[in-house]
Amino acid sequence: MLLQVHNLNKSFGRLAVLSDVSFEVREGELKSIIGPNGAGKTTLFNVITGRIPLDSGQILFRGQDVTGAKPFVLSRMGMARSFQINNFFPNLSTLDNIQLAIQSRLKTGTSSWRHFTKGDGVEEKSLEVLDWIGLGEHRGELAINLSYGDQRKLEIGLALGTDPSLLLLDEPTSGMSRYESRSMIDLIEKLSRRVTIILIEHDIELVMKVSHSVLVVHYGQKIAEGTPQEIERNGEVQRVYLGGL
Amino acid sequence: MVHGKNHLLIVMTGLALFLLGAPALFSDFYVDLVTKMMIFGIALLGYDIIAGYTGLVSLGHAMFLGLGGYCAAFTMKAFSTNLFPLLGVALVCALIVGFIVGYFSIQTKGIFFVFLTLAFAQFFYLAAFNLTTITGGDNGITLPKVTIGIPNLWETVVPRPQGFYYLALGFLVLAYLLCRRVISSPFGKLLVAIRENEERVGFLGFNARWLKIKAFMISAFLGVTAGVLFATYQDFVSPGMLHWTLSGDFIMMSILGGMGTLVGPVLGGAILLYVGDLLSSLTENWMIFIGSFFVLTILFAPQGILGLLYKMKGK
Repeated sequence: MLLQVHNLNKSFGRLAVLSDVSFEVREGELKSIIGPNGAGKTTLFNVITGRIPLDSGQILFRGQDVTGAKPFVLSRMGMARSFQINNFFPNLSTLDNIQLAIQSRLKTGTSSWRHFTKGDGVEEKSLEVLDWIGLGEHRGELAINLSYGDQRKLEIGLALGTDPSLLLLDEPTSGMSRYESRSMIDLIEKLSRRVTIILIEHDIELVMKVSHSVLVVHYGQKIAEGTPQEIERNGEVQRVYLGGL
Repeated sequence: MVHGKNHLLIVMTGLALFLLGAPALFSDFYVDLVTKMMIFGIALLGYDIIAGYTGLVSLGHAMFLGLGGYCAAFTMKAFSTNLFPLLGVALVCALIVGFIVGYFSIQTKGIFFVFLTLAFAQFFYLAAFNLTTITGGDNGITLPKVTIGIPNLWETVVPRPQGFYYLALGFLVLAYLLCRRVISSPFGKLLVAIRENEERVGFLGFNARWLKIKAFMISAFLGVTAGVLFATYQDFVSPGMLHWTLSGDFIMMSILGGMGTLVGPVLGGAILLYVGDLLSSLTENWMIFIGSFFVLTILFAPQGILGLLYKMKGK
């Protein structure tokens, strides 16, 4: 198992945001997490990636206990995430943004004296990532000047640039037009052939189309997990989604 | 592109020739003033790494200038008047103090960072002020003349003002080259990234905290270098070199010249020292004019004088 999550609990004050959430992700899988607004999906990502501390529970990544590990440690182990709200370097060029991610995997990546050489291939690798996410033509533009749809792709590109084995995508299509979403879906499908993905997504249609398995959370609790077909037939999920909204 | 590079080369060569020839052309008064500008420039380069590039505006940078000054004074008392041992001792102190102050300060942000660095600096100020048996308190310490060369072989007192002028120029050029190297390195790019979005730097797998401490230490390193030069040039060190108003001057000089550009703060420092000197000989209330000038800069040229020049060139 690439990721094992056992009995996660997290409360904000007296509000339990996550209660006893457990699940596993195997290598090569694309698992989606769905649930109504405020179900605790992003909080789940935040505790897994070390952005906020959890109250109790255990997280194993590649068999190692990483409960409470800092984001930079997890990133070095191969866990990367994108954010629901754009979280890149707004006043740097698209290329410079990606280069920061690429340099994180280099020995000389934090050197204050040695410069990159041709052999490091920083620029080639960055351009490769930019082509992957379809922003090759915008390499020189400041991130802040990109269209919103392209910014969402850059957000994923930053995570992808660290060459992760597990990629957590937090609502990549959030705020996107229908048209932009479609190209994002294509990108996610393309990515899932390369890397294990956990995807938070509102668009049920998209989820059912691309996922190998789906996890449904509601009020911080896991209420169902299974293949897209199983989830579609699940009575409680239908009640939450159709009756609850 | 090639044309632009040639242009820059001409300007740089002209400036270098001017600075090299200046002592022969100008009176001692100006040689003295430019020497001070260059020594301040070294400290301002260091300050720009932390404040301009990393975005951590400290209000305690005078602590490193003073640390350098007192290190020089104590080392001279203890064993040597030679500049290089003085610098050696000061640099070791800079790394230790830079690490400790950096370690605690960079855990805070914004106004808390400002006040924590101020508190550390005040600690040193009060120590220098109150430990009269060691530091001479407010009276300060008068230093013997600083020497260069190899002890017991060939050692000479640095002649003034010309000799010291070239010494300061040499150190300023070295400091500039060092900073340029650091800023264009992978580490330098990360400092800008931290200024832009520190959280994401962490999510990319970098220990942002350690990077910031390192930046703080480099900044301290240049600060004490300037401090040693300043104290040995004045033959005097006093708690004034640790005072928070001097830290404030660093901020003002940096903003005036243009933070986040290496040349800007050095230019800002030179201008403020020159204008300050000029105005103070004309009127007692010269600070009013400096203050107004500063307000105008913030309002109409928030990127500083260098930013303004770039903007005009761009049009």
